[in-house]
Amino acid sequence: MKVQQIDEFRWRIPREGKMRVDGIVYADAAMMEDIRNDESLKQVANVAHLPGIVGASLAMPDIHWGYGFPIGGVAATDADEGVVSPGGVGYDINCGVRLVASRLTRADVTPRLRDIVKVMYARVPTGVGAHRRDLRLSNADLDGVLQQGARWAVDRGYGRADDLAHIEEGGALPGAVPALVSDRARERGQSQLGTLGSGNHFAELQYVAEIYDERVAAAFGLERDQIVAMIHSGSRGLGHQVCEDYLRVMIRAAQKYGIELPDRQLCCAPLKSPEGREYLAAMSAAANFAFANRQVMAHWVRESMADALGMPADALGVRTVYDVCHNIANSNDSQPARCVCTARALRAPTRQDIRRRPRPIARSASRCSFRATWADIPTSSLERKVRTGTRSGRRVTAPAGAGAARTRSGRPGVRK
Amino acid sequence: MAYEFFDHTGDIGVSLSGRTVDELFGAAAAAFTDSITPLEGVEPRRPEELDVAAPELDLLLVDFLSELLYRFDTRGWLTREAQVEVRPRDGGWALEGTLLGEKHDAARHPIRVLIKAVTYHQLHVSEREGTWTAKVVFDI
Repeated sequence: MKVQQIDEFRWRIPREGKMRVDGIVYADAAMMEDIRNDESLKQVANVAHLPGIVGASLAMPDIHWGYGFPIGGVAATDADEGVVSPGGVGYDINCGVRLVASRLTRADVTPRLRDIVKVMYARVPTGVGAHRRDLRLSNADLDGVLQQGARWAVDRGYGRADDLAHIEEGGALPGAVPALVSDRARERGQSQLGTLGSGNHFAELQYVAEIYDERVAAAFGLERDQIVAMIHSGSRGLGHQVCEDYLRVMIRAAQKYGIELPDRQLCCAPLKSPEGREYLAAMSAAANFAFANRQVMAHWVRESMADALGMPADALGVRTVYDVCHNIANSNDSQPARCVCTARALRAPTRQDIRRRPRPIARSASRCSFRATWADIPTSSLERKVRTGTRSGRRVTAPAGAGAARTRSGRPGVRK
Repeated sequence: MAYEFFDHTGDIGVSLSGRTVDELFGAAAAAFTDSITPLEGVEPRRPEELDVAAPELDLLLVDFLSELLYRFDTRGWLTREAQVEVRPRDGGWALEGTLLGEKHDAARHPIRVLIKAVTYHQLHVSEREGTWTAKVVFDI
């Protein structure tokens, strides 16, 4: 694989063969050594084959070997000429991260840490088939969840109305069509709302370990030693089934539209085709399930903290700082003519994100997570590093911008 | 009939082989279950019928394993042994047969990993000199 260094933190995979654009990887030299050891660079090149891809096939610093897209891959496609790829979005549609802050400090909770975590374990279902008996959805309920996302949960008492203002897209993607979500997907989702799932998903009690930018941290109401909770989960079996259903559709569609691809997992259809439009509508519905899922779990985490400490939740000042998705395709409002697909990477910031919203960056359970913002830097200089750490033996760099804070787990909370 | 797991960052890859295509699919079912929980701990207590069809043989492998995933995810069904016949049908391929297994019991079936999806990445099914081989990657 030919790779050219552009500058300290950018590497180009030059266009060749049937690639339509270059690939660009954001990484430093040490990370590149490691990245070259698997097939992720080939996957960056593969994504560059997608019809209508704009600019370049991008890979964020957390790049590693995935299927179809590399993990950390980002692609924008033209609204007229471009395609959408369910494999690009990934199986766990709207897998994302919710950060919940409180007014508690480490000193407040240290003596009660075990109690809080125990209650969290009991309240937030995790593991095979686990779900709460008090939340099983009828088909009509499920339609509401798929259409309204987090609002459906708030309207039924799971959380507070002001949570919605702190969720990406207000907690619901527009354009969702619940009727396009198959019976199998519904069956898988029916008992999984408010469940964490497995793999790298977690709900964790953390504290703010370090502040990098006092001004930004203050704007988000974060300070050193403050207790926060982070939830990393997605659309569960429902989203996986939607992806699976539409991969099957897209394998046929790619043949129908004469789209040649180096990896079947990248199968896709034009954004303007019936297959492309239907996938986006079903994907939006699954994304809304994920927003509702994290909303319900955040509510139970809030309840857990209050019950374990014997105080009303309002007195603890538990509030949502932000909820952001990382497996999604949508039209970026700063560039509405493009559809941006992000595979397990942070989505590119929209105009209103810049200077206002924190982007929680989850890492594996019980390790440091980061809160980063794009504040203070132009989006064109995303290569600026914040900090390097380690993940799965590989250095990982928080991409771009002034990091507001780093949190550290008090101890493993509810996690798989 | 055999299977061997290979390393794929963050996921599970499996190489399968069999003397016949039926054996190959049987190996796929065994590998699928063995990824989730030790295969020998799953008893062939009950039969379940299945019938899956797909336009191509490699797509049939993904659809077959996705069917096993669906049954596990919705009903906790674990397959110990798949007795299946894979044949051409209606211009494509079909699989018919019986799954022998039981429902997941947390006390007897410790979970190794939970498979979230069966992917098309590096998917490959072929026959050479009387041996069938395949590769498939599970998302975990």
